Amino acid sequence: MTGLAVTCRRVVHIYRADAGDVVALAGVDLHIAPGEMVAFVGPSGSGKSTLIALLAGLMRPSAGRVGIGTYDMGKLSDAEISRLRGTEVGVVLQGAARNLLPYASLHRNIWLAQTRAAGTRGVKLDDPERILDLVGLGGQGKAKVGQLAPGARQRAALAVGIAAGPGLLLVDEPTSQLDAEGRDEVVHALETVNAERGTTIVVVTHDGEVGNRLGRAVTIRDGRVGAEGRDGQDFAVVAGDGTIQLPPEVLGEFPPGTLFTVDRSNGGVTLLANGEPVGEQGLDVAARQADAPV
Amino acid sequence: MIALVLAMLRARRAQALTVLLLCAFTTGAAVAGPASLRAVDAAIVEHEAEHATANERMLSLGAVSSEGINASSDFTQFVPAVLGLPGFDQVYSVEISMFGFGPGAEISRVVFREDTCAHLTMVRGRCSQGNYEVVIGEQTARRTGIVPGTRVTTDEVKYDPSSGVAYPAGNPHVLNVVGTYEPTDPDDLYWGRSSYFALDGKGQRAEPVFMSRRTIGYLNQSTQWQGMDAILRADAVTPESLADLREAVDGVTAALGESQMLIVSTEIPKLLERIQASMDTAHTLVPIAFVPLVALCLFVIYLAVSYGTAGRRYELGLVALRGASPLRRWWLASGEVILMILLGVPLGYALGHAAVALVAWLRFDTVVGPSLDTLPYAAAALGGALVAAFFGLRRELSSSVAELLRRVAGRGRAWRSVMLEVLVVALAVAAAFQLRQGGGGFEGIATLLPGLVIAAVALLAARAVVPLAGMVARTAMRRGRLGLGLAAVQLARRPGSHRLLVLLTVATALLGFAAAGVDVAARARHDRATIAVGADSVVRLDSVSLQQLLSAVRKVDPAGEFAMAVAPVPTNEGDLPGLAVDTSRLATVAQWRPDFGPADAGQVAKLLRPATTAPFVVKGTALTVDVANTTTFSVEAKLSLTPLNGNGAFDVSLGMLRPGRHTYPARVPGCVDGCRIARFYLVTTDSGQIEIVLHGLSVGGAVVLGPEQLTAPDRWTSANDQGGSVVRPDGDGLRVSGSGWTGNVITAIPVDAPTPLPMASTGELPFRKEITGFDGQQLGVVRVAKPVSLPRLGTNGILVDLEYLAYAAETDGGINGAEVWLTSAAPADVIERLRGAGLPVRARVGIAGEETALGWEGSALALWFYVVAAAFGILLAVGGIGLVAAVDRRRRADDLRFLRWQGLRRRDVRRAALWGNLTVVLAGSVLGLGAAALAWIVAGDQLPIFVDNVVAITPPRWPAPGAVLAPWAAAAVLFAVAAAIVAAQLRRAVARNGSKGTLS
Repeated sequence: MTGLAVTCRRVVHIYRADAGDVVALAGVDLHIAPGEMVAFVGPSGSGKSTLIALLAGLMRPSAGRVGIGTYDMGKLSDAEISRLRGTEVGVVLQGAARNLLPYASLHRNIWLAQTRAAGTRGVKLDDPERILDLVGLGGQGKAKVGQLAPGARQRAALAVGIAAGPGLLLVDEPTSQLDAEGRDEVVHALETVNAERGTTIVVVTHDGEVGNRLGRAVTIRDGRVGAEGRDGQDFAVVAGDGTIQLPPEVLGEFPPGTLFTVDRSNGGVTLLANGEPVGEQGLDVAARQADAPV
Repeated sequence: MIALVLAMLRARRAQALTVLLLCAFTTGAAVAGPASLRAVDAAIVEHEAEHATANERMLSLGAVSSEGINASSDFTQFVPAVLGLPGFDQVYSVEISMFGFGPGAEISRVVFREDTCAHLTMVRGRCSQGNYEVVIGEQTARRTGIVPGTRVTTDEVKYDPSSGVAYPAGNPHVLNVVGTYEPTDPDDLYWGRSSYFALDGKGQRAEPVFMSRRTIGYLNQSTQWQGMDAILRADAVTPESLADLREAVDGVTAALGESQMLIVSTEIPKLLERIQASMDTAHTLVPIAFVPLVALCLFVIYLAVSYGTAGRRYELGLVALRGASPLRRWWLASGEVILMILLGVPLGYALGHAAVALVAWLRFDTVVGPSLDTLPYAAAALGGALVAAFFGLRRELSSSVAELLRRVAGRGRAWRSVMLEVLVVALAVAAAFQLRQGGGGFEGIATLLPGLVIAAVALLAARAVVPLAGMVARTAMRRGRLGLGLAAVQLARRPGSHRLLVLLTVATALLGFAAAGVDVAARARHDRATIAVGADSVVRLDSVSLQQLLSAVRKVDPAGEFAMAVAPVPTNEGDLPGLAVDTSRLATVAQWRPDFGPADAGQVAKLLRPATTAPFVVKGTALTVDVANTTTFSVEAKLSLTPLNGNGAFDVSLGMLRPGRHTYPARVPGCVDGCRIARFYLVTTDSGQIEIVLHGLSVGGAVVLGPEQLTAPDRWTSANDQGGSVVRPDGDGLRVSGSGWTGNVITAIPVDAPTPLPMASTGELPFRKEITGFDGQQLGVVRVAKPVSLPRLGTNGILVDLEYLAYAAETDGGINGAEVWLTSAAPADVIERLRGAGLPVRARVGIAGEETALGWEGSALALWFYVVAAAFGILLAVGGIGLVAAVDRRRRADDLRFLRWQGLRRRDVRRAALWGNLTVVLAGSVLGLGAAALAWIVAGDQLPIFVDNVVAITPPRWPAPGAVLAPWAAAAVLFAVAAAIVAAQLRRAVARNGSKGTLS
């Protein structure tokens, strides 16, 4: 299967609680191309895990549209979403062990993850051993999760996530409890999967290095796409409603209520704070299309 | 997929084993119910068949053929019906009466009975087999001097129909006595109902002459009795054969009823009805015990599965996350439970049968094998277990993936539990209405009433306890009592605690209800046994005369300290059963309970025996009677005299009364110790109005009947005979008149007893204010006491004075069913003394024996299983404590460990761990006691305790406090120990470092 594109349009999600509603996502606009590797980064509580849960179909957005490939997740029934998770969307939850049945071997875990796809016409599944090879765990099919080292556990979790040969792999914090070596192994496995299968990979991480390694890091702040880094360069992102979040380090210089004048010249855009010319109070903004080369 | 499920089983062996055992228990309980019934049925049948009276084991057919009456043809026609009865041993007999085997006019019973020789022990000679051969009893041989080898010339006995006097018929035969015998077992059922070996007043056994089959054919007697005794074999009576037996016996009885010549006698239907009633009672009680137990088992299965599944929520979420199909999700969620249930059913089936067989063997000495009849119940248990498991899984199966992946499950929908509570309460109300207003007893939904009441109380109480616990938790927290606060939080917030509380309440309540039922039934049995026996012990007698009974008992116990003569009052249809007792000993001897009424035995005795004039007593060996015959007819005068020493009553003739006034002497050697004048009567031979005047009676010059005695008002009465006797004072004498014809009797009776006769009665006499006297005549009575209950008779009967009732009878023939009631103060050799006084002692029974017999009734046997079921429920509840604690332990240990890290004192951890469970245990125990009390109030008095109402008593309404509190306390202690153990395990888990990744 080739990679699936991901599209979010004005996605809003609100958690209802007795103490009051909590807005987790406040209008996320995002597009991920098929076969692309993307990291969601951002502070705790920013909404990254909520966003990935929406992509996995574990929750429904309060508003907006989430598209996976050709599917509009909001229009799919629970059963269809379940089928989608068994065939085209792989999900790896935070905490490697939580993705695996502890009493079953890796082979059995992979087999379980393949059962839905196995029953779907036209789907060709890889042999479990081949999948384990892909994540660097060849020959360990009979092992159980408790017998593996932390890094291997995470890769075993990845193996389960890609067992059904999904077009989209959603991975939550794959390196959070790993050392650098373990992290490298996991990222390498992700890269291998992406390279060999063209799988679109979305990773939630606190680790900026992981974001850098994946090539595209989308920063979620306050329930929105706050910024994006590509190939080591950081960008602000224009949201669907036309808003742009200023980088935090800049935002401190412009208290709420600061007025900007937008000056377009020389193919660029200059924001003039309080009508003052470019200087310490101004920002130069270089704009480009999200999918255009920098 | 199977491999994955097996991997799950391996990973959670303890949990799987728990479900397996619970399912085995459920199936065992479901199977044990009907299996217990089979055991109880078998025990009832075995006991009843063994202890049935001879009449209850026999159908006897008899026909008397004499001159002009040929019943033999009817007998021959109908005998095949009796012979065709399945499960019976048939014994044919022929009996004739003969002179020749005793001195003078002694009449002997000469009997042919099939297979007699096998039931006789030959003392001398051999058994009769050839022509004209007979054997006689050893005592008869000694008494008469007839020895084996003696040829006895016999003659047939005939009776004069007018006088009833026997005389030789002139049909002599010579019979050879070939041996003397003693009956091997005179009480053997083989001997049928013929009382061949009845005891006489001196304790001597009757001994018929037994002849061979060949002999009977030669005798050619004009009068003979043909009999066929069909004896029901004990092993032919089984729970399964009851209906067929009843049908067969009813069919034969109905067929035999078509003949006017045959005498049919059987009490087999009575036995079968008693067995059926006993079984019916057990069938009512056993479901009351086992249905709640099965429900409890299913609840624990639900608890185990729901708790176990809750612990697997994340795992199930993971399966769902991989997009598993609903069927696969369901199988992976329920597979291990279903496998264990499927394994548990056959295990439980075997265990249930084995347990019942063991109990039946230990308690009833009855062997009960497995039966396929219980398979439907096992299937129902399987279905119930699967449904319970499904309900336990329901929430996790219907939850979304996101819900399952959450660490803490959301709260369930409250309306479901509210609906359940409403349903249970509604069912309990409906069941209570049916039981108390429907009058149908424990049938249909009413069978579930105790369980429903208990369940309703448990559910409602558990609901009420939750906010209460929350309040306690908040208050304790505010006051800094963290240990108590955390324990209360556990009860208030964890659904497991709530369910455990329900389980403990129900189990405790079932035990309390069972203990109450057992205690009340035991006390009721003791009360009934006490009342049914009437005294500490009772000596049953063979036929005896009233005066003999009275005088012998008074001779043995002159001071009235330990013995009392008792005789049943003859009854006609519709009469209340009654007893005539020697009321001078009533207060001392009878078991007179305080609840019999405000009047005690002494007061009732005084009312029953008001002072009257003394009877007229003749004491001497010769008497003279002064009588005037005022007519020209010849008439014979006689006196009926009853010796006060207990010897048999007799009549003495004064000879034919000549016209005019004359004195007539008579010899009365039997009156040396005194004789009561029972009656003066005239036997007429001529037709016409007979009139005489009795002027006096004296003994050795002492006047017994003078003008004062003969003319006293109401001192004499006439008999209610056909001659229209009239008795009235006339001058200085007593005029006795009436119509005369051949054989008619005109009678004057001294009134020795008060008229009407005082009577204590538990109710109004149904038709008239009369009872039947010992002579069969109706006797006016007046109710002088209204006891609630009476010894022996219970709440349905009458009591009169024996002596007065005897005085009121014209004659003193032998009565059947007489007894001597004894206190525990009776001397050890009282039986020998009674025999020495001439009473034909048959048997002695006591309260303990009666109580034991009642203990074999269906209700008592079923209640025993009730206790077993309740005890099992307690064990189940203990298992529930362990189960809930085991499932909760990791989470609670995590919580307490976090709190400990944050500064919670060790002491508070200890308190929270202990009281978290102990609070539930204590609350469940107390609530259970309350639920049992409520269930008892609603349904306790409706429990069937006795099979019949022969001796109606009112059972105690409440059990003795100790009888309930003792098992309750034992159960509570057991629960508390279990709670302490799981608390200790929790403390160890809290203290342990590095829990397996549960802190994430």
